[in-house]
Parts: sequence; C-alpha cells; structure tokens
Amino acid sequence: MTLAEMLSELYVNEDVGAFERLYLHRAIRRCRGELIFGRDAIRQLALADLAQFSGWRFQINASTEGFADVEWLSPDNLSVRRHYWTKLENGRISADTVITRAPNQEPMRCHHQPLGELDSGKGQVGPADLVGFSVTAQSLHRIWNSRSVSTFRDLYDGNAHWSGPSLEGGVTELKNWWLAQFLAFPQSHIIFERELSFENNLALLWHWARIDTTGHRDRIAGSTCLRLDGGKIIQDVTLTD
Amino acid sequence: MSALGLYGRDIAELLAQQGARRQPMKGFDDIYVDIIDYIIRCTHRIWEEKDIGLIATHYSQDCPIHLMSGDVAGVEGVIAGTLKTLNSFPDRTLVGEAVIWSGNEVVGYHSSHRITSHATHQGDGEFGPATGRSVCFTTIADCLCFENRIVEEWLVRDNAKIARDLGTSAKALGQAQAKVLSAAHSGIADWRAKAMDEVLCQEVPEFSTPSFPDPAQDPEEFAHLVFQQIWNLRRLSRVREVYAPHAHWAGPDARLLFGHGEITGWIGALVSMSKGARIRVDHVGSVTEGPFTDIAVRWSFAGTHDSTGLYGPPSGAPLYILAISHWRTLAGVIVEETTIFDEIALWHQISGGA
Repeated sequence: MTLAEMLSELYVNEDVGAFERLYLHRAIRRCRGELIFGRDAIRQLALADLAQFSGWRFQINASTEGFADVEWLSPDNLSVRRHYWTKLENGRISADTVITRAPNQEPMRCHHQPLGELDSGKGQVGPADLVGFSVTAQSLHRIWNSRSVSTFRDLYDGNAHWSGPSLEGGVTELKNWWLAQFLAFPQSHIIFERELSFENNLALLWHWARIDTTGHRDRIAGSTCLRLDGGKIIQDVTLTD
Repeated sequence: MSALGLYGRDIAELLAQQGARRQPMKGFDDIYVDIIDYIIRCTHRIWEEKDIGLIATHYSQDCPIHLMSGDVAGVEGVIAGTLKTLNSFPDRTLVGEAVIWSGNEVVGYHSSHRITSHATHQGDGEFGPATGRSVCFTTIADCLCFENRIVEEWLVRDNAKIARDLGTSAKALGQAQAKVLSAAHSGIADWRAKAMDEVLCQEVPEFSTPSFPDPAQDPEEFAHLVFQQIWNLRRLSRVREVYAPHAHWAGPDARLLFGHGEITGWIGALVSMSKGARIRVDHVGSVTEGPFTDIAVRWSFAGTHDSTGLYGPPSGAPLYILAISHWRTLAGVIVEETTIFDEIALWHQISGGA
C-alpha cells in the first residue's frame, strides 16, 4: 500500500480501523516539537482530524513512498496543508514526521531552553558545504544559511509560484519573505534531514534553529515540496511547524 | 539460532504463539522461544495481564535492582513495587520500543529493554494523591536473565516527565525528598558514596586521538571511545564524528535535541556542572535491527556539583548519575539516541539529600 493509498484509506474512506495494518504498535510521530508515542495515540490525532475536517475536501497534491503533500479544503475555501514524512518497517509505518500549516495555529510549546550552538563547530567560518544532498538542496542551503540572495534568481523560474508558511505569491514575495526572516532572526541555521526526489518533484525535510532580535531562541521543523522544470523551480510549497 | 528482533513486528505478532525455540534457553519456561520473546512476553503478562505473582518465578529471591535513588533487593520488593505502581497507574501500557541483548544461556542473557508507557494517575502513591492526569514516560530496564529469572536489574525511568505530566516538576519533588532524607546529619548514603568512588577511581585517560570504529563492526569499542573521548576528555568536537548531522536525541523530561550543536550543548552543559566529573561505561550490548545497529550503553557519572551547568548554580553536592543510552546507528554514525536517567533523584542529590 502506498502512502497516498494509506492516507486515502484514513481520510477519504474514514477507515480508522486501518491503523492496525498501517502503523506499527510502537510507531512514533514527531509533530510540533513533541514526540507522540504509540499507534493508539496517533490514532487519536487522526480521529481529531476527522472531527475537525468533517465536510472538508481532502486532496493529495503530491506523494511518493515516504512523503506526501496533502490538503484539506473547507466549503468556504479555508485550507489546512500538511506534509507527511514516513519511515516504514516491513510495510508498516514505524515513525512519521507531520508538519501542518493551519490558520490561527497556536505557537509551539517548548519545555526546555535549547542548548548549544546553531551551526556546530564552525564559528566564524561557517556554514560548511552541504554534503549528501542534491544540487537544488545545496542552492537552498546557500540561500537559507549563507544568505546568498542572488541565488534566488538562478534557482527559481521567473514565473514560479510560492506557497509559504504565512504568505504566497511569486519569486518576489518569496525573496521578500526570506529577507524578512533574515532580519527577524539575525542568527539562524537550517539543518537538512531528508530529501526525496520523485517525478519532477523534490521534497526536503529540515529543522530551523534561530535566535530573534530579542534573544529568544527556538527550533522549528520545516518541509518543502518543489516542482522543477528544466532545472528551475516552478513551484515551492514550504510549511513550518 | 538467534533471537528474532523487533524490526517490523507488530504487537499481535510478538504476542502470538511463537512455535519452536529459536535460541538455547536452559531453564527458561517452555513458553519463551528467545530472550526478546521472554522480555516482551513476561512484561506483558506481569504488567498488562496483571499476573503479578509471576514475578516469583521470573526474579531471583535476592535479585538486586539498582536505581539512581538507591538499590532495592529481593522478589518480595519487586512484587510490592509493581503493585504500588499499578495502584497509582492501573491502566499502564508498556510499549516495548527496543530490546538490545547480549550474552547467552551459560553466562546469562543481558537485555536492555526500552519501554514507553501511557497511564492515568488514578491512585495514590509515590507521586502523591491521585490526580486523574495522563502520563507518558520512557523507562529502560537492563536485566541479567538466567534460567528464567532476572538475577540483577538496573532500572532508569524518566521520572521528571511523570512529574511534569502530573503538574509538578523533578526539581520540586527532588527538593521535597531531600528535606525528608537529608545528608546534613549523616552524609550521603553509603551506596551512593561507594558507587561514586568506583567511578572516580578510574584513571584519567591520556590525551589521544583514536579513530572511531564502525559501530556495526565493533560496538563495544565504539561506545567506550565515545565516552572516553567526548565525555572524559571533554573533546566535544568529536560529537561531529560519531553523530549524523541530522541526529535526533531524546532525553530526561522528554527533552528533544537535534543535530550536532544541540547534542554538543547538552553534553557540555551536563559535564560543566562538575569540573572533575568522570564517566564510566558499565555495559554495552548491541543488535542488528533491519539496516540499523542498535547499541545499548549503561553508564555512570560521578563528580561534585561545583560549577553552574544544566542543573543550576553549584550546590557542592556529590553527584551520581545512573544512565542508559540507546543508540541507533547507520553507516557508521548515531542517527537516533534515547538517554534516560532519573532527574528527581538528581535534584534530590543537588538539594542536599542523602
């Protein structure tokens, strides 16, 4: 069963009983800075989804083994978008990371002050090159971590569409949003965790550690699904926790 | 013949009839086919099916159980402790996340069993009067098993997370315990002084820069070098050699870390609270789970709380930590870690408890 079929089983057919064969009993979910332990606890979250999105339309925008970009659309055009990143053991999900963009989402709770430095061991010479990821991910690393604003021009098609954590638009809006983040978080560093390439898409899971101008530090998870054409990004969907 | 691991196996499969014995298990009940089956099944039978009396045939009469708050001994104590815990948390479920084993039927099997539990605080007990709150916490039990009986156990539980879920904190409970059992009059408990001496009498390793072996090939050496180099020699930069850049780490009070910077920060904050702190590796076990090599390391930390660090300003208290770490390694590095110790017991020590 593909991830798209799994999610359809849950959210189109509303077959919550399918959890028994979709998830291992000891499955772990990472979401909003916390770990949710066990299939029963994850099933509770799915039930909460079904209650919240009753009457909404569920659609899968992109998916492959290990990743799905899905969306719930309300009758009055509200959208809740979610990225699933899954790990399987013998065909069942043993762990997933879920990142959701929803209107009026409450800020994440953080019980512990983050420790250590944002970019480990680099001091004044960071950031280092990104190893083990695609050329596209390396370009995003240059923009996000080295503030290489000019790279936007090379990486994105001029007519690219961007759907970000709090705004959407074209390349200008995308660039302006990131510029605002660089100013709001003078210290920030993004660490890439996973990358999946499928058809003309590239999906990236990452973690963003940052310190704002008041000294407040946090770390959020983010996920980006890109559509590429001729080596340029023509669509960028970026969600953060 | 060897034990069948947990990788990809659901609880229904784990608790189903297992067929023929997969591992030599002299003296073990016929129902058990390998050491993983023994650990998962007897935990379910005792805790979830509530066959508490089974403890009598699964623990040796004088079994010592080592906790960070002191040792308890004997099967009667295990039965009493289990009943007390179940009185407080009668609906506790114990989801086995890992069983990392070593040994054999001759010298005994050593298992390191990581469990995450959900429960409701429905009865009075060690965490005070019932609150009705839900708790979720991780425990790691290292057990030496011989002829169907656990003959020695080292138990670490994330008591800080239980405290937080119940609306209080490890610090508050540790301070309250220290008032009841203070070190002010007769000093710290003998067991703690002895455990600390055993760790602190180690020779300081000489400065050297050995290469870390592939943990899949030599998990024992890998574990010893991690603690020698990074912890005892304070070479925090070597975190970047043994952890993946995107490593996940989970620790006491459900603290979650990600990546080299945060993991380095946590180790640094812990060792910075004691200038002369020493860390000793007490046991290493490992198993292959799918593409991963999982390693269990039991370790002890001893020192004096003479500097500001993870647990506030210096108190001068002698510190002893009993911890167990589970590492999931892939391609030569740690990609996931769970480290558990009892922060209530640590706050008890910091607050002047015996």
